[in-house]
Amino acid sequence: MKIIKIILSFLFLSSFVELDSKLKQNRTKKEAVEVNILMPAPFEESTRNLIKKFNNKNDKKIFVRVIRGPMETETVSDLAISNLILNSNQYDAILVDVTWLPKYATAGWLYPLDSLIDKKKWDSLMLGAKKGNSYNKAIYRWPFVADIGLLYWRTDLIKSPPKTPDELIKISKKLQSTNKVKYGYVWQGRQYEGLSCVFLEIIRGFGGNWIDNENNVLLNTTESLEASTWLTSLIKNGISPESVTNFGENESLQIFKSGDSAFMRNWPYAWAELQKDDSKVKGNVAITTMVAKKGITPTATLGSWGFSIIKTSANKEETFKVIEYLTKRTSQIELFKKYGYTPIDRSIYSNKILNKQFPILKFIKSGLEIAYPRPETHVYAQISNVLQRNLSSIITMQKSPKEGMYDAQSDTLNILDSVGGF
Amino acid sequence: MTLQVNNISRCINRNWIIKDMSFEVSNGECLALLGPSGCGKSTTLRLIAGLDSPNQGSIFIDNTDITNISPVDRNIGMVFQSYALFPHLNVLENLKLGLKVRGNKQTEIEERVNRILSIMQMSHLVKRRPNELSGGQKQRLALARAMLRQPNVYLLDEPMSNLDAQLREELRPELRDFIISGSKPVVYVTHDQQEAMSMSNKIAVMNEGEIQQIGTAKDLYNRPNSLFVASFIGRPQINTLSIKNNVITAIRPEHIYFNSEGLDCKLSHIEWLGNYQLLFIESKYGLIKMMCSAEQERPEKIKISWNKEREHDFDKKTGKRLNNI
Amino acid sequence: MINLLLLPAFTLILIVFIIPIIRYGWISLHSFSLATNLSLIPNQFANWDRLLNDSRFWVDIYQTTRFAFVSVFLEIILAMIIALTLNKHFNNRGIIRTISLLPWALPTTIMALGWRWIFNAPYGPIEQLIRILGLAELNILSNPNFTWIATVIADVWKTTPFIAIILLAGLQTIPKDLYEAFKLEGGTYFDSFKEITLPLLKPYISLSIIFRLAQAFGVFDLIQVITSGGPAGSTESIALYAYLNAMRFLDFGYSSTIMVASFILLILLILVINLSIYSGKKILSTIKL
Repeated sequence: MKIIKIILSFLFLSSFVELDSKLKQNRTKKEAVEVNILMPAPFEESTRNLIKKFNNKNDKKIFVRVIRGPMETETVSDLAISNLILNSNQYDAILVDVTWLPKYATAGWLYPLDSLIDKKKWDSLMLGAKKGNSYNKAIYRWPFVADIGLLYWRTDLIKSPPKTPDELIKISKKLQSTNKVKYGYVWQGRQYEGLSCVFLEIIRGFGGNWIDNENNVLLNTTESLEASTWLTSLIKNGISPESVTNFGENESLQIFKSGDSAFMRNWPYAWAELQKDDSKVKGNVAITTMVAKKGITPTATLGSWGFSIIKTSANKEETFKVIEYLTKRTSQIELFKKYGYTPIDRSIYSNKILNKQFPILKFIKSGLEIAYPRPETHVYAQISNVLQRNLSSIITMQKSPKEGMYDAQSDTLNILDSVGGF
Repeated sequence: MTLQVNNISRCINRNWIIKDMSFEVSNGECLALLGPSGCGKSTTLRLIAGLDSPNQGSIFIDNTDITNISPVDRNIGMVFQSYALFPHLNVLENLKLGLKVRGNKQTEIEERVNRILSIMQMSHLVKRRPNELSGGQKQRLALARAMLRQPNVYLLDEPMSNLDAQLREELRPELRDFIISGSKPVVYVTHDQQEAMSMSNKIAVMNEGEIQQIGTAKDLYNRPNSLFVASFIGRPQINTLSIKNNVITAIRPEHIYFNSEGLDCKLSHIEWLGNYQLLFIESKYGLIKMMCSAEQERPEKIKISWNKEREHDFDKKTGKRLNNI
Repeated sequence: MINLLLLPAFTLILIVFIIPIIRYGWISLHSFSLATNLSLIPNQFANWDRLLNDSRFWVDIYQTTRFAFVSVFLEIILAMIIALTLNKHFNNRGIIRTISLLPWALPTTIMALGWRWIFNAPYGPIEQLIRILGLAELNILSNPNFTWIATVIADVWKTTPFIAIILLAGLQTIPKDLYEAFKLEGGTYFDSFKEITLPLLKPYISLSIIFRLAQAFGVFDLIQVITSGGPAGSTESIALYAYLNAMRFLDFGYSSTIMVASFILLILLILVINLSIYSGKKILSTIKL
């Protein structure tokens, strides 16, 4: 019994041990400047090759050490915060999610990059990639990979994808009634950040917004009511399975991948998954932008990762050099080809050879053009949590859309009031 | 009432713990099962009580076959070595519990418990838990519980072994008065031959699951039928000498005396034991123990002798008795 | 005077337990969040005032208590059955004892992921089973009225072996003689369970109850993985709420208040349970056999 327990705890701890041995192994000669970067585990894996290349050239003046964080986004943030709050000076840079930035910047943990940034390089970025990097007029983050919400659809079932919410319902019903497919549409309905992302796309698709550019909270409006009613009707009409209210990205992908659904809302990473051999819809999938009412520009929620330099870092310039290397054009192309990471350099999207080789680029580009960030406030986590709880209550029929949206509105205003606005 | 055990055997994991054992204990008789630890004496008790069942053989109480009936219906009063008192119940509750689960009437329970309490002189202890009782009181409570149900047979499993020597001597008369001199068959398990001799009418010496010999204490002492019984009964242990071929001659140390015409010997050392002394003597047959009074004076030249009729001869191979005296 | 021999243990308790609690209590009397630039600014009882009026906190208290009581109740009953079974002599008992401990040895996050998959609809095994039986979809993780039961099931699965081992240890301290003596007196199996096993196991049962209640009251990772507190906040526990306030919202003042408040409530709860279990009885005399 003891042995089993030891083995299991060993397996559990081995990730940390691995990290530790890596730290020891990688100690180098004293003259090199050490740059430590914290990344979520998947990024640590994908950048391993680039880091190796960087450490081997560069006259060995800079040595990069990547600290492998946990898998899940929010757990990485927990780790980062526990370090930052103790001022332990462990990291020179952190790969940060778009929603963390205002919080970290307000806490004073991040170093403004404006003085380091080359204006020409900044201008070469896609418009969508430029968003979500600044807070209170200072740039705190250099983008690494952009993420956008996309609508996946089945080319073997329909000729062209739905453009409006009504069309999505109509086509789904038709495909379901003719038993072509079990479900019409799968998305992220679990009470977590993904639900806020889904809702932002829908509320804007109905012509509303979560919080507009003048910082007005618009959750108690006709549009938000329509949007939440629409999400509820998906479940009520059986277009989405009832269990969608506990779906994260992975659960949605599983259903779509098995060929049980006509449409799916997901991030670009799903594309590569759907091309794998175990995918029943391989070769029959296309992507488009999220549905929106006629005459309204659709929205893709922007989720992006970028590098921020920590204020206490002693080697800011060297760190920025590493960031430049990891995000330069050739690195982007390498990561796009190997891992499907959405490139951020505009010239990549106009490259004819790449476009021919990867037709998906065209769709990602159109998604990036309509990318929209979530509200940029240091209390984002609070207001998103309030929205998630109320949306979850609405789609699980605990509250009517009207009640839920009213509560979300007043709770959000209370939070903003308590911190004196944005 | 008579307890009859007929040819019982018990096998656990291919080991015969009890081999073809038979004995009989009649009313008012107390049989002591005596033997080294692991010889099967406790198992015998458990078989009689019904806590274990024999693979072969049968057990009768008063001519009724009880081999296959439940423990409670055998109506047996058993005293465990550990006393098996319920630690969470006080004296009164300990006594009442059995009567309660057997469904006796409340008034009857009260009456019987009170009677036994006064017999055992425990009325002032009723509120105490077992861990608040002295060793002797615990034993008395265990006896009281066994007596309370007016059993057909008493089984006592080493009832004194948890007590110190002095207490044991004090409690012997008590145990004799309450149970042994009653009118029921008693089986008394012990590994202490003194206890067996003083408490019982007859003794069954057991070894390796078999009864070696049943008899009165006197019989066993004077006429052991095997080398094992001869060695087991009597302290200090009997001398075993190889005088003749294939024969072991055994003589008790207390039967050896000084004799100027006897065997030429040399004194090795002396244990002085108060009322007597034990001499260790080297002879041509090996080391011989001799017991004599503490006042006995030793001659200068040690020469010993014994009466021929005190010799017990046993077969060297089988250990069975050869001579008849 | 403190016994010198107790000093190391006392120091340890002081450092890892008492000092943090006192510090949390102190922080709870301050604003300590992004709004104060992460510095401590005294605000009297503003956090406590907010807590008393925070319906989410009280709902979470209710949900956590419900989770804890139902889990521990089921765990004790199941663990008793398992312990009684494992206490019997049978072949390969050692192996079976070890195997039955496996759920407890698994890291919570890993086993919680497993349960999330098991309850997952429409592909999880439970939904498949329900479909085979020809019943409607269960969707236990999507129904705010029932999702908490799924978290209870996962917790019971994980922790029952642990209690079973405690109870088994307790069973093994009960001398066999007692059962045999009782059997001779006419006690049935059920009687001896009621009259001997239960009363003698009482210290072990109450130890398990108190220990597990305190643990279940702080449930965090299990719920974070299976439901993240959803749907509709129906499975959010106090620990999850405190965690959100500290690590996600960076509001350490309020998070400390939640922690101290739930600590006080837990202490009260355990005192009440202790009193009701030990009322009027000298339990020590049962422990010292």
